[in-house]
Amino acid sequence: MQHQPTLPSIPWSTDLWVGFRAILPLWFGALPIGLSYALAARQAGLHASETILMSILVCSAGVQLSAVNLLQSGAATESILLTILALMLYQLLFGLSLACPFRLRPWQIVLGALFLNDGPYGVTIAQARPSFALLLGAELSMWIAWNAATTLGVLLGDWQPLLPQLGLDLTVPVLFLALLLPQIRSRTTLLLALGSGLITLLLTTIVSSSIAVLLAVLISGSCTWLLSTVLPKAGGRQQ
Amino acid sequence: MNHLWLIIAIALTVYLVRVGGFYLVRIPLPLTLQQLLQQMPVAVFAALLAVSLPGHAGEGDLRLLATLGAGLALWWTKRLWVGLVVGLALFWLLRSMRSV
Repeated sequence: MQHQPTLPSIPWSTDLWVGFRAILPLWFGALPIGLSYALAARQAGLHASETILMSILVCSAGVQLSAVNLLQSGAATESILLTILALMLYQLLFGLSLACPFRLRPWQIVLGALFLNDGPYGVTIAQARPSFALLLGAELSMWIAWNAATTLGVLLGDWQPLLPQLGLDLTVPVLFLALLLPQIRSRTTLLLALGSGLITLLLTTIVSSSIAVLLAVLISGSCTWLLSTVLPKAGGRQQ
Repeated sequence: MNHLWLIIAIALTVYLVRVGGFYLVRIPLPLTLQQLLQQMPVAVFAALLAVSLPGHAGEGDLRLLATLGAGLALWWTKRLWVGLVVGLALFWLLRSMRSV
């Protein structure tokens, strides 16, 4: 459909606005995650300015929550970066998938990759005629919402001494569960989640939690890879 | 700014992966590798969930029950804030029952 030459060209600013608006429903969802991230970051020892800086530069809930969670467990920089790399690898597929329907110029790739994550990718690829302006508008919208939520969380930081008593750090496992549940779409992914969780719990009894996370991801990922390669009918998403 | 370099390193790692995807289009990836990449967040999130579940105050059992309740609410409503509210309310309820 996107190859029909007769379609009228849409102004750049219109596409930018369409992308920006498409993300608006996600603003409400960004608020509790941003607040929880700011809370977790402050508890992990990040300064208020560092907490905000990470949101400005990274703009990814999954990455930032994982990083501060590992930081709090005393992880070394290398294991934090390796875990984040493992977490981010699937996003290679976003760029891959976006590069197919429309051609981006090098400067557009440099700019478009800045804050590319699930939300902007999803709304752009869902459009009949995805474009760079649309992607940029969606990323800008997500970035504003995420940074507003983070800043609000930092400003509420005065309540922090109360937080451990209230048990509010329970929001961290609930958030990871909320990130995990939509990803479980087949028997394979369910087994992978259970395997990774159980291996982590077992390993935490012998090594530090950051090493346990990294090893569990590598072991459970390799097992899934073997299962889906050796037994192609048992793996994949066909269940 | 004790963590400035860590934050910059994380931002660079994330950015390189984001840019990398656009250039990867020239290399054909086997389907099983694509599936593996897609499934990596499942393994990472599950591992981090397992690590953050016990907490530091020796209330691991209460936190497990509260997180299960939150999981049911999340699955039922698909709304994060409902999951957070249910989880915390359940946790406070269980904690008050224990202290009685």
